[in-house]
Amino acid sequence: MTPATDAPQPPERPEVARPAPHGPFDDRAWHGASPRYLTVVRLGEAGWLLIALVLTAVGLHFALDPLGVLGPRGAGHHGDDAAGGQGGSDAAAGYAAPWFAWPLVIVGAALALYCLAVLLWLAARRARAIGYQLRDDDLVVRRGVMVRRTVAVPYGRMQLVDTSQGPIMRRFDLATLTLRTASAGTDASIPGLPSDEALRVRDELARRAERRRAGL
Amino acid sequence: MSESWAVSESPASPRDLAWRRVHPLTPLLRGGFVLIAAVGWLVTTQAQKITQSLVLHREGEETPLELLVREGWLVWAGIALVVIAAAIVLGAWLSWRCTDYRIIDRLIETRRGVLSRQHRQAPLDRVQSVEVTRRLLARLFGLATLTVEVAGQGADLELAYLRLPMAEAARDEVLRKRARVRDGAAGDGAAGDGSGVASRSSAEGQHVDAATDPGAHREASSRPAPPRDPALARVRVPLGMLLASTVLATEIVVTAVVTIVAASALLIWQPLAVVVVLPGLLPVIFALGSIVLRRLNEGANYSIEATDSGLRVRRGFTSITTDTIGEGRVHAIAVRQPMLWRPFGWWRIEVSRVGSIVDSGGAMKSTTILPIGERAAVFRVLHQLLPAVIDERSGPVIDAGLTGSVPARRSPRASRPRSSAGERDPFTVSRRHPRIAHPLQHRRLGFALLDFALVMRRGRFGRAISIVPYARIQSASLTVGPIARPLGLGRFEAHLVPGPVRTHLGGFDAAILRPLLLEVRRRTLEAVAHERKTELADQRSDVEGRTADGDRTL
Repeated sequence: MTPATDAPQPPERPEVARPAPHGPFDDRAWHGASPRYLTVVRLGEAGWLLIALVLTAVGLHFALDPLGVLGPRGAGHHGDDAAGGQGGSDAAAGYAAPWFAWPLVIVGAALALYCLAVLLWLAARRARAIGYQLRDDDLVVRRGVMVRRTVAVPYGRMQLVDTSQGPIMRRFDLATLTLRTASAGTDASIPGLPSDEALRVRDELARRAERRRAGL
Repeated sequence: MSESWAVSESPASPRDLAWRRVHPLTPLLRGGFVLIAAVGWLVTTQAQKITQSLVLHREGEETPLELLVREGWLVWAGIALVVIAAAIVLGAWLSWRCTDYRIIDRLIETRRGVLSRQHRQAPLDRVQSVEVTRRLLARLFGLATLTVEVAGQGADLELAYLRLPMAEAARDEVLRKRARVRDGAAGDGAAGDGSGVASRSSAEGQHVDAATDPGAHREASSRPAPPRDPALARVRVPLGMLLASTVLATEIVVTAVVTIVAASALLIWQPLAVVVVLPGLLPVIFALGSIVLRRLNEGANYSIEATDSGLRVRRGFTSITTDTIGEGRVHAIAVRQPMLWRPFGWWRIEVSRVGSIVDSGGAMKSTTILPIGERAAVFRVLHQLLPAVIDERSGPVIDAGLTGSVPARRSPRASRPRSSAGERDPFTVSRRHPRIAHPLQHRRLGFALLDFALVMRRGRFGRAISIVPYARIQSASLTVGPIARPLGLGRFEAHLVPGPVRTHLGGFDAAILRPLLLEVRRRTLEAVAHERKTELADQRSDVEGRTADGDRTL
């Protein structure tokens, strides 16, 4: 291994990336995604959870309505996400709101909150797991919590560098940097960089690639 | 430069700069199938009718030809035919006038299209391979297609049709000028960027190399020719071997066996079903037969020859293809042995290389370099693909990759991440949960690090190795998934240009893969740095230069 002589200066902004015990490149500091990216992924997870809840509620409503569990058609509470999966077995419970409805609502809400907490925690971990290093001769990118992936791309192998921004990312002034080589297997993208840093890294990558360009 | 250059170098004649036309028959051949199909349709319907009335004594429906006769349209149809033919000829003439090409110093250019013009240029130093194809119809007229392959999907330049000698001359011209461009680029680079010392020293290294290696001095430029030893120069595939190997393909045998077993079971159970079964078998037989015929057609007349400008692969029966693969254009090599070939000791070689993986017709291009061969042929072809592949150090490793495996009874701690010469099996295999991760191939699945390439071995019944030169690795990754992590396993992958070669090791001891990733990365960076110095994307000179320098890595 080359000694960490020209390790890039850590930027002033708070670093999100933390060294992960799995990495073979932990001899140098990892640069990570912006803290704002945590908000973005949290929003994203919350959005997905919301969509999942609404879909579950609608599904349960249509599943339980014919069974009469929810009371007379058009009356009473409609399918709450917490109406419970066991509702089907209580078809004989009659028209009135069954006695177990409210506890189920509470349990369901608690479950949803718990899911949200876990998802947010996982999303934050995933965002923190993103890291990159501009090493002497190659770019090293690390990603993933469940599936941990480390990829090393020599500058001389770069074919092009992409920066892309979705609407939400633009709102938070973030960008995703993607590096492409002649291989489709190279999956080196760094999401959640501040826009100016993404541009800076892109230009730096282009400069280094130009200096180290090697033929195919 | 060397003498060979002086010989091939000629002043650019005006003819070299002029646009050249393709053969006048081109548009007719391109559109020829439509014409033939139309006439063929008229004829076959009529012929069908005649056979029907002769054999079945049945009046069929009215055929198009009869309709024309009955309605008295025959004259009009004739006139229409003439008009259409005139239009076709005119269109063909226009199209021919607009289709031309030229090969100039650094570029090859094609122009085509009457209304919407297409002008395509490719820098010669980006040319990956050059292919001369003689399709059946064109062959009747002595014509051929020249396909110039550059990096990128759908970016091939096709010169169709040329007379065969013209096509071959154009191919040689492209190859010659490409080599000259590359050579010039190396000189410019040395003069331009102040790395002249490095370039000079590497040039000296090549001279030393040429002096010590009898194979290299035939052309002591930066474009070394493969050894012209006649024993090595040409590999052929005997037809009988090809036939046997085609029939012995696993999918064909499995399909045939399953079909036969199912059909006979049905017949034993219900003999009357023969009425259904026999016609039902026809499509299967037809499908199998067409697969076999296609493979035979592709593999027939196969020969591989080393030439100055690269490896020349010739194949085909109805449509003959001559493919010239430039130096260093092979990115990865797979040597495979399907299960049923094992008793015969046959192998197949496939390669990944830059360029479109589909041809202009949209069909998958053949990636096979050697359709079938015994071990000796395999080594000869490998030697042509990568001259440094066979030496006293790498030869046994390749052999161990082909047929070797780790001995069954060894203590789990005996395996070291780095293979040493003392060990019988030079391959490193995973010793962590091998029976869970790879119940069958755990004694085979592994890797070995050669001076210039990573070799991966896999397969218990059918066997395969992948040879991946470090200089061609685009990037490398290590992935540890949620199931693999508690088991201490991981997946290493070397990323290369798309192709048939598998370049990953999955379900492997992560403690071995981490140093492997670092080591492969280090060697890849070294290779990239070396390429940059010599400014040559040339596998052979790369490998030889490294060998001449005395490889620092081992």
